Order: sequence, then structure tokens, then C-alpha cells
Amino acid sequence: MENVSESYETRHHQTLEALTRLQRAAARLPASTRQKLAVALAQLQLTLQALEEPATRQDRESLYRFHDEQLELTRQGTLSEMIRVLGHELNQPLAAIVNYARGTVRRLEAGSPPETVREGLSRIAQQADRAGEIIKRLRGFVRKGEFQRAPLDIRELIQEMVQFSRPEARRARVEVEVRLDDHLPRVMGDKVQIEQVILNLLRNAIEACHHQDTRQVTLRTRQPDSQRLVVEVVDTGHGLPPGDPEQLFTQFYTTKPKGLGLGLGISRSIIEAHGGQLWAEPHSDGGACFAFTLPIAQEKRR
Amino acid sequence: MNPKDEPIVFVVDDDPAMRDSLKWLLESVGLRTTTYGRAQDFLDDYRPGQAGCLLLDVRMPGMSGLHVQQKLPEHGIHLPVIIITGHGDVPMAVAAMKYGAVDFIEKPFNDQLLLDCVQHALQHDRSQRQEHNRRREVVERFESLTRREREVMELVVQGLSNKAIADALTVSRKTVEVHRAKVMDKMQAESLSDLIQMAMVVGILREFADAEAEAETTE
Repeated sequence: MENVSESYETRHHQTLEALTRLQRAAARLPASTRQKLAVALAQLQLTLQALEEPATRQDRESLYRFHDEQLELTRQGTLSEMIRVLGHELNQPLAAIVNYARGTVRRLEAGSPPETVREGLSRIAQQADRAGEIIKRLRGFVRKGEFQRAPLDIRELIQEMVQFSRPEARRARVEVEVRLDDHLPRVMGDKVQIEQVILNLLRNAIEACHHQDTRQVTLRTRQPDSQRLVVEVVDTGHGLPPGDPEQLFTQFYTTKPKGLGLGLGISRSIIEAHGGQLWAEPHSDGGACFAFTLPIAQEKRR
Repeated sequence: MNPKDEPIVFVVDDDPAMRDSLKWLLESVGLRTTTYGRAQDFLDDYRPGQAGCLLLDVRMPGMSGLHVQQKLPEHGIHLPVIIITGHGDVPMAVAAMKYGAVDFIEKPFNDQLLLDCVQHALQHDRSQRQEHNRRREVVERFESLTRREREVMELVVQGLSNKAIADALTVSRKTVEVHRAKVMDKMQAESLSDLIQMAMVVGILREFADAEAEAETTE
């Protein structure tokens, strides 16, 4: 039995301490167990949060840190999947390089002019660059970064994530369209975390299109004012479940057969930690629209 | 040569580098190549009767390679299809072959293997086309016969003598001879066996055709 005389603050503090100890212990467990534990801990943490909104800055920070760690665990858990996906993606430029190279050899043997050879070689180089980019992205995922905020090129981030989820979109036969303004200001954020949010929304959108006649996902941006940039992920999927869209963001809420119901909650925490908002609304065409805001980097004019 | 008879290798792949590099490779051995990023564009663009073959990536957003393959007949496209699959996509390849693909090839592939596949498909297309043309010509000739000439031809190819035919049609032997000469002339048949083969093409010698097919399968 708990001592009723104990103040909430004390209990809250003790629980947080216990959680931290648990997390440390968890680091020594095998990955699969760790992930299960992370889920359990997330639930506990959320219950705690529900009991009383974390009032102090310290509490909030601790919550964010927890989510970061949880994110890291998820990232490790999906690493093998990512390697598989990236391997598939690497196949494309490699196959193209082989074609260009063989085609160039044949042209050389047939006595084609040097310009042809130059053309072939430059296309090979282009594809090698592309392969390099894919590897760079893989490194970006594995790297355990500190929570860093820097001006980010959101266009690049979106395109990278779209590229990354392409095999998945291909499998699901979903067309992913990117509609971005030409002159996008940079936003402030942690690259890896924002990537994770975009990827999460993108994957949800692709999955939501399952069994639909039209399977289209559109990523677009708008700038309501000089402070914020809005990124929207619109799909032609099954739409939002009936009821309050906010339920989507509670932990363990999921409409997917194999979903954990953690992604959207984590994504929202990340965006909120960046001083933005993440919300869902039904789309006029029947699908759903998930949108988030990020602060625009206030850069000195050059 | 009819421009439609010069074969074109059609490549449909949603990856720009893949289709461009395939074009580069195929053109290096002098094959005319046209590429499309979307299957629908190919279906819209294809001129009926154009010779060639089709290289399809099995996985594409919008319309998958298998889906395209199934849609070809309703668009009147009878090109041989080579399916390109990712590594280890065996079930897809099996399905593609079931739908009548002439070949499938795993990515990344050996260029010689691909070129051999393409040459084989083009050869397949050529003989399919020749056979189709030959049949069409024979059918056209047959359709130019009068009713009486057709009757005479049916009896001739069944091996009846002029006399027997005359009796069967209750006309003079002389008349049969005239009709018979007309049939040989109009069908451009050099000999009776020539005419019999043509009769099988137009289907008035069903039993013979079936018997021959059976003989072939039991060989």
C-alpha cells in the first residue's frame, strides 16, 4: 500500500527514477525483449502522464528523453528491415550501372566515337552517386545522434523519405506524389527525428491505401505565416476511424493488424518537442490528411 | 520493309535510370528501343501490328507488370513479354510465366543473358507474325471462292475423285474439272497436298488437323 501522505511530486519522482533504472537494465536485454519492455514502459509512462500533466520542465524533458530512447529502440528493431529495403533499393542503381557499362563496352567495340563513351561514363557516375546517397541515408539511420536542432532543408528530407519508402510503395502499388513549393524556407529541427516523423506518416498513409481502388499519397507543404511551415501527408486510404481523431494519438491505439499503436504518439511528441503541432483531419476525397508544423529557421539575410 | 515490321523493344519501368540504361544497352547492339515510365502510356502509344517485344518490370506503382500483361490481349497487343523481377521474386516470375510471358529475368542481370532473351523474344514475335500473315492470306483466298468452288474444294481435300465429286454434286465431270482448276488457281495451291494444308488452316479439314496433332504429340 502506498503512503497517502506522500505527495504526488515525490511519487512521480520515484516512479521516474524507477523507470530510468529499468531502462538502464533493459539495455542489456536482447533486442526483441527490449522492444516489448519499451512498449510496456511507454504505457506506464503515459499512465503517469495521464494522472497529472507533467507540470515542471524537468518532467517534460524526461518524457521527451524517454520518447527519444524509445524511438531509438524502434529504430534498432527495424534496422534489419531497413537494410533489406535499402539492399533492394541499391539494386536499382547497380543494375543501371551494369547496363550502362556493358552498353558502353559494346559501343566501344563497335567503334563508336569518344563522345558516346563519355556519355556512358557520365551516366555510370550519376548512378554511382545515387548508390552513394542511399548508403549515406543508411548511415544517417544507424547513427545515434544527440537531439540537435539545426536549419533543415525540408524538401530534401521529404524527398529522401519518399525515396526510402519507394519499395514499400511499389509493393503496395501506391503512387507517391511530392508537391512542394519552389522556395521553401528551412526549418529548425533534428534531422533524424523529423525524418522518422515523415517516414511514419508516409508509411501509415501507404498502408491506409491497402485494398483501395485509388492508391495515392501526396506530400505537400504550405506556409501559413512567416513563423511556421506545414507539411501535409494526404492519402486516398480508408479514412480516419469514426469518433474523435485525437484517439489516434493515444498510445496503443491502432487500426493496423500488426501495429503497436506507438508511431503517431511518438511522432506527435517529437513535433511538440520542436514547438510544432501534429494533427489529423479527414480529407475531402475520403482519405485522411496528417499534418504537422515546424518552426521556420530565422536566418540572417545574405 | 513495312515500318511496322522493324521490331521495337518496348521497355516499361518506373525507375528512370533503369529504363534509360536498358535503352543504352539495347541500342548498343542496334535494337530500336522505346521506353515508358508508366504502363498506361505504353498501352496508349502502341500502334497495333507493330513488331517487337515488351520488357516489363514486375513491380511498379499504378499498374504492376502482371496487371499490364493481363491487359495486353484486350488492347489487341500480342507482343512477347519478358518480365524483369527483383532478386528472389520467384512467385512473381512463376505467375508471369503462367500468364504467358516468354521469359523472365532477375535484376541485376548479365547483359548477354538479357540480349539473348530479347533476341529470342523478337524471333518468337517474327515467326508468330509470319504464321499469322500466312493464315490470314489463306483465309482471304478461301473467302474469294464461290460457294460452288468451296464445295468442290471440301470434297477434293477429302480425297474424292472428280467423278465421285460430280456424282455428289450432280454436275458433269467436266464442270468439276473447271471448278477444281479454279480452286487451285485462286488458292494458289501448287499441288493437292498444298491444298490440303490450306484446308486445315481454314478449318474445313478438322478431323485431319486433329489426327495430325495427335500423331505429333504421340511422337
